[in-house]
Formats: sequence, C-alpha cells, structure tokens
Amino acid sequence: MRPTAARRGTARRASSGVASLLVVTLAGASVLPAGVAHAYHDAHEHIQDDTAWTLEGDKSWRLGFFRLDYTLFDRVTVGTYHWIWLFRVANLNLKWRLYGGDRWQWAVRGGFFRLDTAVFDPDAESAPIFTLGSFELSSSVALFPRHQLSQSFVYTAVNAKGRLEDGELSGLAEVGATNLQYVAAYEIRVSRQLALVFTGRYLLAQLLSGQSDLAYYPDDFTTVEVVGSALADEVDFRNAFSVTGALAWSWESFNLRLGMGYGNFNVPGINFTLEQRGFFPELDMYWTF
Amino acid sequence: MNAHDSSACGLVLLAAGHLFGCGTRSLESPGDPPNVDRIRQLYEIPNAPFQEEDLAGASLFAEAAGAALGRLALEAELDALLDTVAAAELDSEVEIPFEAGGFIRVTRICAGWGATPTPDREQNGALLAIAPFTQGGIDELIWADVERCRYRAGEARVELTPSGGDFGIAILSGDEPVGESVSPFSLFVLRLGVEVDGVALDFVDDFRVVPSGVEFRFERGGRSLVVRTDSQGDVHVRAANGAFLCEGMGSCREEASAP
Repeated sequence: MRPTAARRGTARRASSGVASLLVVTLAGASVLPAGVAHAYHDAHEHIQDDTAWTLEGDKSWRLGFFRLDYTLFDRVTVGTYHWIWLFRVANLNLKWRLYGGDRWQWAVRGGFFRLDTAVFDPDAESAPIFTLGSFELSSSVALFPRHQLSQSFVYTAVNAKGRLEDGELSGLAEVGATNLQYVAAYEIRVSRQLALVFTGRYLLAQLLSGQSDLAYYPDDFTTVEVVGSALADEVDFRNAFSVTGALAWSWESFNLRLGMGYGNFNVPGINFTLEQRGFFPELDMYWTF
Repeated sequence: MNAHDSSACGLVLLAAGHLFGCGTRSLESPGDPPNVDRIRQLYEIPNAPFQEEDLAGASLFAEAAGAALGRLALEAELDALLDTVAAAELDSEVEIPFEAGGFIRVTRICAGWGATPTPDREQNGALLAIAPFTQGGIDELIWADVERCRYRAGEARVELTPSGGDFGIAILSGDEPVGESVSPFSLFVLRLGVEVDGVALDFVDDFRVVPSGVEFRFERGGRSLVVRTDSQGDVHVRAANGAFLCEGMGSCREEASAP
C-alpha cells in the first residue's frame, strides 16, 4: 500500500465531511501539549510522503488519520495503517533513509499486509488468505533552495489463495497481482508553514496471474485434474497516470495536506490502478512529536 | 524511452518478481513429454521404397494389425480417454485471452473383466493421461501411463501393461478432426504389453488414424512403408518412391499421396 493511495481513497469516501473533519482536527491540534518540537518546513524538516525523507531531529512519532509511524533509530521508521486493523488487516512498513547527504537523500521502504478471512468466518475450512508486499526505492534531491524533487519506484505484489469447493469441483486456487509504478513529487517551500507539492504517478506495468490445482469427477471411473496457471496483462492499462496538486501546511506539530488530482485512480490498500480517469480529492492530516 | 518501452520494461521486472516468488507458487511439473518426432516423420515421409514383391507382406501386416486393433477395442478405450480430455478443456468455460499454461491429468479406471464395469483401480488398473495446455488449447501431444489396465473386448479379456520406457501411450494430434469423432488426435505410439485371454499378443508399436481409415507402419530392413487397407479390400501404400494403390495382389498403380 502506498501512503498517498490510502489518503486518496479515504479522502474520496470522506470528501463530504471534509469541513467537519477540519474542525475536529484543528480542535485536536489546539489541545496538544505545548512545547513539542517544531514541524515547520525548513532545511531539516521535509514532507515524508512520496519522498526519501524520514522524521528528523528529535521527532519520534507521527500520528495521522491514516498512519502511525515511529522512529526506531536515526533515519529508520516503522509504521502502520492503523484504521485497517479494524478490518483485521495486519500491516507494517519499514522505511530506511540509507543515505542522507547535503543534496541527495536515498531511502528504501518495505511494506507487508496480511488478511486471513477465516477471522470473518471461523467455520470455513480453508478461507482465502490475502497477502500484500511492497518495496519502494526513493530519492530526493534539492534542485534549488526551497525546491525538492523526489522520485520513487514502487513495486507491489498481492497474493490470494484458498480452497475451492463447488459441487464436483474441488482444489486449491491462487491469484496474484503485481504492479510497478513510478512516482515523482516536486515540492516548493513557499514559507515555513506552506509548501506546494505536485505529484505525478505513472503505471509502468500491472499484471494478474492465477494458478489452480482443481479436480473433478465426471463419473465413478474418471478423475480429471487441471493444474494450470495464467498470466494476464489486460489490466496493464497503457499510459495510466495521475497528477496531483496539493497544499501542505505545517504548524508546530500539526500538518495538513489538501489537494486535487486527475488521472487513473490508484486503489488504496491494494495499490492498483483503475482504468477509468477522473478527478479525485486528496486529504491528509497528522501530528509529529 | 517511450510509453510502450517503459511498459515492456515493467513487464520484465514484474515477471522477474514472479520468478522470485512474489506472485504465485511454482507449478507441479507434468514430466517430460515423449519424443515421437521420428515416428511422425516416418508416417509423413516413409523412407522405404515400395516394390510389388513387398505387397503380400505389407497387406498381411495391415490386415492383421487392423484385426487386432478391432479385437482389442483399443481405439474405443483411447477415444474415451481423449474425449474426457476434450471435455475437460471445454468444461473450463474460460475464454483465455492471456498467457496460460498447465496440464490436465486424467485418471481413468479400467472397466475390468467382470460382467459389470467396476471402478476398482486396485483390481482393474487404470490409464493415466497427461495433456499439457496453453491459452491456445490442448497441446498436440498427450501421453499416458498404463497401470495394468483390464477390460473386456466382447468376450475377450484384455490386459494392457507397460512394456518399459517413459510412457505407455503417446497420442499426437493431426490437423483435422477424424471421421465422426470430435477427437482431432491421429498418431498413436504404443509401448504396451498386450494379453488377450492370458495370451501375449504381438501388437503394433504405432498406428495413425486418417480420414480414410487407419494406417500402419510396416518395417522392412529397418525402413518403413505406410500401409492401409480400405473397405473394398484394396491396399494403399505410401513409400519413399511414391504412393500406390494395389487392387488385388500384384496390380499396383501410383496414386495421389494424400491419405
């Protein structure tokens, strides 16, 4: 799962309640303890989404609407999308900024999600299990003062497997999907509180694959097993892309990001691109401390 | 790099991801297919020249082989197996517009020697066929192992056993459906021991079903002629030096080579 994807999806669902959310959030910000470290945009504090940056300095926590991140070590953060735990989706991601120079930053990030649908149906003999893994390589470079360009390659693989029992047909089936995206984010710091962020996403490839080992019994004398696999690039929508423009505010500890995007929507959670193009909102908010 | 190139690059990377297990598990292997290219070639281009003194031997051979085939009802047994494979392909009900592969494994328990067919694998044995497939359908070559298969052909008790080698039966599809059968398969290569009522039968190693009948390969001095008898009792011979129609013993003339 990609952070922007999660934000976009939830933002779409929650777009009608944006105003009330802002009220609640600002109220929350006002009751946070005073004296927490600053979160202004400056040379040491950068946006972490779609960039190679991690939390800096004495900041250890990031708590947002969608994510919780904690700095384990210098330049190493561990995080989770907390709200999907409500749906029993275990998930964890780890980001390591492996190089931090004056101009260049490089980072890698791995993510893992797992959903065993047996938790919803304990009586099921072999409920499908969904597993998602992602890997991301990012770089950020300071092109000019106040200008940062970040680029990422994001690889995501989803696997679902389970047992099929349908009349005379029985056996194991497994479906996998893989996805490779290129993401570029351009950040312009307007002031300590405000940055403009333009993000482009391009789908390099998206594949579906499936495997089965099914058996059926047309009569008492005959057993037919079908052991097969398939690979489809029909979901590899040519030239799928999205572009997003957003405003990112940063106060002492509270951060807010609002924007609008156009293009092929990237499905949150499974991080896959839809064929239809259109406009979509972007919303995120979090605290760092 | 244009969009098409970048997509191709992505596909390569994703395929690599699959190889490293990021997609789905690796498939069970159906085993190595038997190589029947040499026999296929001999049916298509026989390498022995035909002389009229060969006619008697070739004719007797084809008649005996045809009679044995009918006596064993082997073609019916194999057709049942092939129809099951064909049905499995149709039953998939999937129009596959993408890359696919795998195999169908059919286990068919033989009917046994009793008055009533009994699905008792331990007692009656089985035929175990492998049919690889791709998105284009069933491959042209399928093969089967024989597990002491017992069945009745009329009143006769037939038992098929493996005679050694990597397979018992290999079946190579022809280009056209044959006769009224929906089965398109045509070349049958057999590595079988055959017993009828407890007596070993010297049976042919291969035969080919064509629209006009069944062809047999008649070996002479290490080379092959292809022989077929038709319903009028005439003998058709294909050889290195042409195709011949022999109406009665000793009166042969050249004919068009298509079977």
